[in-house]
Amino acid sequence: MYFPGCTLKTTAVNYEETALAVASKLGIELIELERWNCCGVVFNLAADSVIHHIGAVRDLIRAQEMSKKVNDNRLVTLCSMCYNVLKRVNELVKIDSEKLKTMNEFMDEEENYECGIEVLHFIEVIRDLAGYEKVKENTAKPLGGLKVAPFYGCTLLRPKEIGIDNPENPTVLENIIESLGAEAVSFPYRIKCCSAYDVVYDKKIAENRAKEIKKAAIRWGANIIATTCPLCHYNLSLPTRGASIPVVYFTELMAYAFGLENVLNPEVRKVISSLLGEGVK
Amino acid sequence: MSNEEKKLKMVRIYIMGKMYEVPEGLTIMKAMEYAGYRFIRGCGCRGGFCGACATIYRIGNDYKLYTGLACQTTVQDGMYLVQIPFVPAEKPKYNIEKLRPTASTVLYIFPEITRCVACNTCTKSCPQNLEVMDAIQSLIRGDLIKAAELSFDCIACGICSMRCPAEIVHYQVFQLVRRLYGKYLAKKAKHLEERVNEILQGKYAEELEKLTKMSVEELKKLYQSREIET
Repeated sequence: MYFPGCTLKTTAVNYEETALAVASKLGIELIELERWNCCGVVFNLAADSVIHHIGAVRDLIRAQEMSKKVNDNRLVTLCSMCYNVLKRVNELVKIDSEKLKTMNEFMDEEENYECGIEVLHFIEVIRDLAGYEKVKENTAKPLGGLKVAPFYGCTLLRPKEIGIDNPENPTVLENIIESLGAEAVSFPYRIKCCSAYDVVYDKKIAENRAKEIKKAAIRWGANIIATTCPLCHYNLSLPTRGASIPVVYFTELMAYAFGLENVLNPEVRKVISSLLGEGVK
Repeated sequence: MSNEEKKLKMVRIYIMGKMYEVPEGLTIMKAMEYAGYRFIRGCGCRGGFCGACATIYRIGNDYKLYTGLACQTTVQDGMYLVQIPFVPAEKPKYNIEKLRPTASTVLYIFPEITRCVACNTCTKSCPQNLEVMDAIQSLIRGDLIKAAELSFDCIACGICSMRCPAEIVHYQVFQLVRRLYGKYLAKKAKHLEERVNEILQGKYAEELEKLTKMSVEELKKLYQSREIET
């Protein structure tokens, strides 16, 4: 089962289209939930918070309903924020039965959530289900010459209980990038915060942070940044004078390497092919 | 009390806290009129279409707050009724001619939509049984058409907006959604366009003029002898 999230349907359409194409190439069937709502965007940290977890639990109930039809309890997300919220709420209700009871009783129009859904990020699916070998096998056009700086941001890795990799020294994106034939530039800022929603309050903060991160990537020899999160993508794509480097979703690189150019945004395709020294077709 | 009335099974309802005995089977609106109330607000078409008679009630010791339209809901024993004359909701002004038909337009005019936490209270309160929350959620994910489809049967009674903890004004939102959809996105109905043109060209002017000059008696006669599709 697949939970897209609101951003994937609005500003990050390229992320969804390429991810779905890549998944099907890898033999992974992602079935979108028949019904879903906003996950809540940010996991609410208040100890007594209940109402802000309702959205995520309702989505988990939707997944639970559908899991009986598709006979599979795995819910895959693409957006790192959705992953973080759904996973944390799922873990929370597993240990806090009192809170779960309150929420189940509040949502008396739904069936009870029984904590049986497993929340995964698409990257985990690639790593653990498909495997890097399969990524290599499907790479029709190796991305030799591309020096890709992976950018993880926060929500995929932290807190470490729900992180998909070592929160201080992750390698999964590097492995995927190298399986595509590109060079992974494992720069130290790859786990930094992109400044997240600071961009709403003061664009300057986000611009400064984006510049810092992009400068570091360039300094370490990268010519492109690959990310997993629509918000990181948005912030890093803010124009920054003196630090110009393209930012793409990792699935866009995969789609290119897999020969799925038709699902790529023409701008992105142009950027990748010009970096590869190929003429634009 | 006539014999006929005595045969009726009566139920007890509470209007503004005062108990009345009314015949079973009446709608809330008729029961209130039976009790002696006269509606000058909170009443419109009496057919479940206009949304003017929003009602909130409790029954006996049930903890639940129920909602309904006074002209569509029948009385039950132990009903505590509250009639809502109008919903004190913000109504932003916009020029439909200058708007783009996208969900972001709607979010720009009604930014509180993004406060939705998916509690679904709106859906539970809707007397039309619409998936109100799903309609609001489809706007957050940029799907204006879905929002228009899901809210098509909204009659703007406003109960959802009074129940919403995020202070979203669903029914105003949906009106904008359907206006945008109808004006810019929905497939145009050719026969409707033709009919509007006929009206504008005065095809029915003469007939209408004749009607306006008729006496009440003549009108009544005409109305009673009208053709009714069966």
